[in-house]
Parts: sequence; C-alpha cells; structure tokens
Amino acid sequence: MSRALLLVLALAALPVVGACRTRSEYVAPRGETPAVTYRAILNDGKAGIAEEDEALWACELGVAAMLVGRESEAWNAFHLASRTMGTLESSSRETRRAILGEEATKRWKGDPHERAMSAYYKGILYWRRGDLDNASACFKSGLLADGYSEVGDHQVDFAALSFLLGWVSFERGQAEQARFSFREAAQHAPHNLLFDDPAPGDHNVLAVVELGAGPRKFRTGAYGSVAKYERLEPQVAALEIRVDGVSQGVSAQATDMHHQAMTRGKKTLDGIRKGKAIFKASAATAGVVMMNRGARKNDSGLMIAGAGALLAAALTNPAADVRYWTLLPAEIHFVPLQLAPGVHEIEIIALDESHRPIAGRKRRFQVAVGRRADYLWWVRAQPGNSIYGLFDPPGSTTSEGNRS
Amino acid sequence: MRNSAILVALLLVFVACKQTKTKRVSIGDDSEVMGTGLESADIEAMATLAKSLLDVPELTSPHLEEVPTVAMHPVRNETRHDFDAELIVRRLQTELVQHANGRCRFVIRNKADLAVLEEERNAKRDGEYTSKKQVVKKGADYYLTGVVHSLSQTSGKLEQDAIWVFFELRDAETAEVIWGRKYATKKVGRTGVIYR
Repeated sequence: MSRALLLVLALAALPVVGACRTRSEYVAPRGETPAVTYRAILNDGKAGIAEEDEALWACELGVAAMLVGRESEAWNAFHLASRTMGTLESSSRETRRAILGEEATKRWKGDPHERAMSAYYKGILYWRRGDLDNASACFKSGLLADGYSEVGDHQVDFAALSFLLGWVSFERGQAEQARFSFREAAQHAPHNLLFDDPAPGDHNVLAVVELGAGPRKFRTGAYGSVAKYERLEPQVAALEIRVDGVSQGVSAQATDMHHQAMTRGKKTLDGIRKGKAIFKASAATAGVVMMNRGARKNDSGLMIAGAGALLAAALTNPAADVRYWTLLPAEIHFVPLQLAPGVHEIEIIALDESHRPIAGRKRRFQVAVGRRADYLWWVRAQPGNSIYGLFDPPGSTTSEGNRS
Repeated sequence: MRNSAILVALLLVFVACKQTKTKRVSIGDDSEVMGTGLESADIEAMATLAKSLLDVPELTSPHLEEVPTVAMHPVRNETRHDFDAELIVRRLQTELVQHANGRCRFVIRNKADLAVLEEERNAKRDGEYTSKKQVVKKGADYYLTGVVHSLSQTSGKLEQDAIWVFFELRDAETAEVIWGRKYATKKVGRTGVIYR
C-alpha cells in the first residue's frame, strides 16, 4: 500500500474515531422585547433544531413563553426538555464523540443549576395549574439535580427550591416537611429574613420574583478548553409590591444564579479537555519539528509522520461546550402577600441597590383574587425591559397580556 | 487495492453515522430509554396487582344484598418525579371494571369527568336534551386510593430511586381499611461520564 493511500485511510478513519462532524452550537436569539424573542425561538424550532440542542432550545422557549404569558406553551416546552434532561445516561457513541471529538456534540442537559432551574419552572407551572403534588415533586427533583454540583457546603444549597418545597408542603398539609424545608432555606440564605418566619398560613399569594439575566458561560484557557461563568450584574436590586396603594414588602434574594453556576464542581470532561489541549499543542509542535527535519534530510517517512502528527493536532478539539441557558435570571426573590377576595390594584416597582424606585421601571395592573389559599405569581424584571409576569390562574379571563 | 481501501474508509464513515429505527415494543417491558421514575411497565404491574381487590368478600361475595360501589380517588405523589397520577387511576379502574363482571360497580370521582357529566345532566334537566331517567348520582360504599413514596439518592455516578406505591380500599362510612397492597420497585441509573 502506498504512503499516499495510507494517508487517505488515516484521513477517513480519524473523523470516525473522533466525530462525524463538527457543529455550530445553538444560541437562542434575543429580540428587543420578550415577544420578539419568543417568536424568534419558536421560528428556530420550526426551522429544525439539532437533537443535541433540543433540550436547550426547549428551556429557552419555556421561559420566553412564560414572559409573554403563554403558560401552556411553556408547560409543553419544559416537559419536552425534561425528556432529555430527566436522565443523565449517555450512549457509547455519544460518549465517544464528546470525548474524542467535540464536546458540544453531546446532548445538552445543562449544568446542575440549569437542571435545577428546569425543575423549578416545571414546579411553578404545576403549582399555577393547582397540581401541588407534582409541583412538590419538581422542587424535590430540582434539589436533587443541585446535588450534582460541588461536593461540600455548596451541594444542595438552592435556597429558593427549599423555600418553594416548604411552602407547597404547607399547602399540602405537610407541616413537618414544610418546617424542614424552611430551615434548609434559612440555612442557605441566612440574609433573607423572610426565611426565618415565612408563615405561609398568613398569606394566600406567594410572588416568586426573578431579576436580571443569569450568568454567561464562556471559553477560556488553551484552545478554549476551560468553561467559565461570568456574572451579568442585575440592573434591578429588588422589587416592591404594592396592593391598593399599600406596600406589601420588598423582595429579598433567595438564590444567586451566578453562585449556583460557579459552584457546579469539577467535571470529568474538564480533565479530558485539559489533556486534549496538551496533546494538541504537543502534537502540533512535534509535527512541525518532524516535517522540518524530514524536509532537511529528505526523509519522506519522517515527513509523513510529521503530517500525521499535525493532522492529529488539527483534528483534536479541546474546546469546552459553552452552550448555556441564556434566559435564566440572575436572582430569585420572594414576596408573600395576603389579599382579600376581589379585584385589586397591583403596582410592582423596580428598586435600585439603595431600594430607591428606578424611573420608568414599574408596572400597574388589576388582578382578581378568589378564595384559594395557594396562589402563586411569577414576576420577572428583565434587564433593560419592563416587568413581566404570570398573575391570574391559567385560563382565567385576565391572565394574558404580560407587558407592563 | 486502492478501491478496497476507499471502500473500507467509506464503510467506517457509514458505520459511525448510522441511524437507528423506531420500533414497537411491549408496554410491559423495560425500555431502552429509561429513567429512575415510574415507567409503563410499573403501571402495568400495578394493574395486575390490583386485580386481587376483586377477591375481597365485601366487594364480590355472592351473599351480598346489594352490589357495592367503589370510587377511585387520585393517587398522591410524594416522590421527586412528576407523573400523571390520573393514569394510574384509569389503568387500575379499567382492569377492575374488566374483571369485576358486574359483581361490584365503579363510580368516577375525577373532576374533569364529573364536569362533563354535570353538563349533560344539566342539559337534560333544562330540557335541552331528551332524558330517560333523572336520578341522584351514586355514592360510593368504598373508595380506592393510593400514595406513591420514594427515597432518592445520587452519588454523582449513580442515581437511585426506591419507589413504593401503597393502595388501600377504605370503607367510605367507617374509614376502615379493608384491603391493602403495595407495589415496590428500585431503579439505579448510571450517569454518563460526559455528564458527571
């Protein structure tokens, strides 16, 4: 067999050992308003999403749908995402491709904080449908997902999930589980005074408040082999909720998403990518040296070996998978409310670090409250945008239209 | 020689990129894509287990003066897995109705089904629909209920769920438990090395 033929075979076999293809990573489009973002993400889905990105796309769509008040679509999206994110098993082919080839060829299942947030949103949507059993199950599932993060103090420290589990447990008549979860929330967010005495029995509405944009994941290190998160500062520090002109309190932070992302812990692939980066650098250097010497000595064997080393270096992809859920919030807060049955004038005001109202960042609307004791509102203050949310129970006449 | 080498190379590419085909499998079998929560095989096993309910003399004894009525109440979920609790109720109810042969009767207690029933009844009473009989809805002598509990653990490499489903038939007047069965399963999932 000629050397040229050997080279052809090597060229054909290497991608097989590594990966069949390299791919562009999915990044959700961002529009001027949530409505534009929602339509753009929806259009991505119509155009076809790669199987590897489907769960990420569905998670982005879920939040975008919630922002525009489309709860059913959000519900479907998060259930679609959980089909992939529900199990962390991987096929041997997928494993081989992610290790030997490009990491981003694996199906996106998110980092622990992203898996926890997927469960959190499902829980919120179940709750708003009145299915407290499954809401509780989702919050438990989210806490277990957080258990995949760094071992030690940061494992299972998602105070917002503990608090929600406590509240929903109280509503389900499970006082002991509620006390346990509230204690856990207070332990992980000692600065939040609400967690010391949440008193769900004295409130019939729990407002879950999300602020800002979640952390951005980016590549750094040799050949982009290291994945890191950076904090995007929230423009809003807290929200104040006023009912019929009377302040019901200012929200306090329960969970800092950047902290959750940063404490994801060391992953097996971190070490593998580091090794690939070292190999890539070494193979490239060795290849150049061998090609050089082969050319000087007129040694075709050395030149072929050098070309092989260069080829191996070129085919080695140590780039970290930096696909991430862009529509996550920076922080989760809570405000419990007690509202008499009837129609109320609600005003939500964005506050800065000094808890002063931010000009032009408030929303006023009317909401009808019935006799239920377990209403859940979801409020989101987007950076650079207005205040959005889900207030009335799904299906009620005034539940749509979330723009301020 | 050159041709066969190219053929080998093409074959390698083909094998690496081959797609699998969707196939039909038995609903009672464990599937290839399996989580550690309840699966179709578990629901089927519960339905089989529930059949022993029909051996309870209070329900099927030939000496009973009246045919007893059983209501199926929702199954409570105490696990970390969200699932359609109504599916369990429906599957069990269908199995029991199929094998009861009229020895006992079942009434619905599902809110959505009752709303449909109510609409029909109201239309009959309003004269919008014809009606052959107008009676009071049947109350239950007994009700079947269940609760699903689980213990969940993860070690990073493994994810484990032990799940227990407890079913009870209770006397709707005295609250006596006259029948009980448990279904238990334990599942261990291995976390792929690329997700650890």
